[in-house]
Amino acid sequence: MMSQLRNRLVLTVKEIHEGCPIYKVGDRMVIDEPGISTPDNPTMCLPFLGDLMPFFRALTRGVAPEELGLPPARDNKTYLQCHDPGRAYGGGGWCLFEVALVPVEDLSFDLGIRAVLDTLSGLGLSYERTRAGYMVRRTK
Amino acid sequence: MVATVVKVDRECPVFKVGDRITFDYPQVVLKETDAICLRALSSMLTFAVTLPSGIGPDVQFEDDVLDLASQLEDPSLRDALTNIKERQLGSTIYLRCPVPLPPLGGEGPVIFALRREEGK
Repeated sequence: MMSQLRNRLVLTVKEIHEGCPIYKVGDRMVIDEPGISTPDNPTMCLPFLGDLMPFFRALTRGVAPEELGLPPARDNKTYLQCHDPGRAYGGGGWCLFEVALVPVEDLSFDLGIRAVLDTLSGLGLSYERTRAGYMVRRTK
Repeated sequence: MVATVVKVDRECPVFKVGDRITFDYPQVVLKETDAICLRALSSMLTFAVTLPSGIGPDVQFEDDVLDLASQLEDPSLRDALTNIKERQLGSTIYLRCPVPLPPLGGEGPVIFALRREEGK
């Protein structure tokens, strides 16, 4: 059994300040790399996707949120907020998202990688999975 | 992390081969950076965050695996492993900017090599 080296990310809208045209409190986004699904709302906010982009890859691979400058994880949860500064600065409202780090054995992209790597066994090669990825070596 | 331009397919208004962007998360080190393109910067953001944390290419090969290349009968596998070895793909992430090639109307893509450097 493989150790759980991956995180599925479940983002939940926890707070909305001064209104949001897209989300309501409790809406979720689920990131199972490379996919993202929205079980509560068919619409996604593109500006917030940009805010999320620097962090999703690192968080899905188990990098600690504090290494990225995010709030340290408590109960496997950290936080992000969208970049709208609010009405005092001419913007609209803004949302605070809870990011739950849910340990899983595989994300969707793992299945695709292993489908390829499994074909290497006929060449006398095997692989080991680490947090950093798949290391391919000769079978001893 | 340092991103180096290794190929310019047609014409790029920003980069020439050999240009570098140096990241020291969460900064771009301007004095060690030749140019910045907003389109390419967006594409390399996720890697600029993960490479300094030791998260490199999803699949890596030990050196003696790459040495198998010359022994392989299947030419496509032999070429693939040779290519990986010669271009050090095992420790390098290659990335293409999102602008497509003509005749679709773009200016032509640029290929970047992303490598982790000590302390960056």
